[in-house]
Amino acid sequence: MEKSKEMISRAMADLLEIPKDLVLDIPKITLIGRGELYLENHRGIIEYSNQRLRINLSRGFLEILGDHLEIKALLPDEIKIAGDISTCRFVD
Amino acid sequence: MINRFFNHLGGVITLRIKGKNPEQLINLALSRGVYIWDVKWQGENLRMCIRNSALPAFQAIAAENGFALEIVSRRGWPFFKTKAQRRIGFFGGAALFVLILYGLSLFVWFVDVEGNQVVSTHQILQSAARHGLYQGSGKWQISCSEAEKAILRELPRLTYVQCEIQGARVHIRVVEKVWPDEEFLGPCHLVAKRDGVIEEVLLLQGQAIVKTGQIVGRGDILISGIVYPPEPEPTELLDNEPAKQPALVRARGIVKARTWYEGYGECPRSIEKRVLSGKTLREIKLITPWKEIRVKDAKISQNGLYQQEGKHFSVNTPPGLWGIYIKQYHEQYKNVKTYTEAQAIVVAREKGINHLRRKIQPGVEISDTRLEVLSSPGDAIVRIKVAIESIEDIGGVQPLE
Repeated sequence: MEKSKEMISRAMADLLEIPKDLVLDIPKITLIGRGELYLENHRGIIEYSNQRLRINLSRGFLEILGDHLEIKALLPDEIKIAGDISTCRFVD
Repeated sequence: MINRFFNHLGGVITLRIKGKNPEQLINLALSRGVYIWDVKWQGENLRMCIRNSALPAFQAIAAENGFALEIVSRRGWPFFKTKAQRRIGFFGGAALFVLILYGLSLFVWFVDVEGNQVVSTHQILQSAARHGLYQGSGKWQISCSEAEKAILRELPRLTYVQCEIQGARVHIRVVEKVWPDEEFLGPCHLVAKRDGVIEEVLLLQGQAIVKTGQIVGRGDILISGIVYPPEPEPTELLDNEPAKQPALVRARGIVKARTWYEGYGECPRSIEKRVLSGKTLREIKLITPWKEIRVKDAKISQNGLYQQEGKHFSVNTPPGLWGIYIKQYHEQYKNVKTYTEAQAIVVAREKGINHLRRKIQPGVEISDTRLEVLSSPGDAIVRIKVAIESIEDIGGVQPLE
């Protein structure tokens, strides 16, 4: 059901040429070097430690590995992370 | 930046969370719209910042879920306000200081004058003071443009005046009029300014009256401004032409003459001088509009010799004159210097020549110097007469009537 809804939304976004992050509620990640990461459209924090941060998404979660990880700002749908980021991957 | 400003305006609280899975608390706070920043692990605890307004909601969530909260620090305007209320004297004093500083900056404390050479600074300051620009005047009363116009009207030697107020200082910049040199251009003679013997005559315009080697006295005509036409030839007299009239010109030329100056110099054989010992005593007085306060007294001895020097710094303010007066007493002792006759003659000669130099115009060539001792060998004062022989231009303008 969720998948078909997403497919319809994607087709509508393609047709109307609307940015997909607005329509589909999918995460938008901005990585600045290895030191900073901005993430929009998150669904909360699953796990946070100095070396690992797992952030819940609309589909699966994002795992960030590194050192001295800090959450610089946390808003209901935005997050800014700072630290020595080594890995950033999506996990279903 | 703007976010940080609003955070501080509302107050920032730094918290330390104790408990397992603090991520759960963060998510619950987020779902209730609490803005969280600077989240990091500190040992076993999670440290974070929230706004002061979100603290009750956050405490409620923490209590519901069994987390212990510790407030690490409180920053921002609301906490500063409470601190300020406790230290009312300090902040009141600071506010009073700013207020007094502002009040004092409303007055003129210094007036500077620039650009004057002929017109004295005192004259300009007096003129400015008559039109409201003086030490201690309120800046709100001053109209620079009116003062400029009034100073220009009062001091005709000035061609431009600019008054500018910079803080508590007023700069008055002036430009003076430059007059052209007043050279006499009408018909005139060149006459001798001094007695002398003519050495050289260079005629540029007019008719030379004197020759080299001639002795002239003061006021004698050297170059005449009346030029007579040349004598007519006898053959020309046959024509019945009228006789030519003499021409009146401005006599020009250089007439150099040998002139003499005499001067006098003397030197006592024994001179008593007061010499500074190097010891200085100081007396300090504070001047207030109401009273003079002695800050420090100089302990001077009754029989001592002192050279006095006073320094005065004052500022004219609306209530009156404020200032400090420092008087310095430089201790002196007597020193007697004795000259031999030869030394006294040298000193007297120097004095005589220096006296003569004031009489002689600059640029005059000195050709000879003579010395005559007037005093007897045993006299207490050596007196001498100095005579200088010089060669100079002695021509001066005398207009023709």
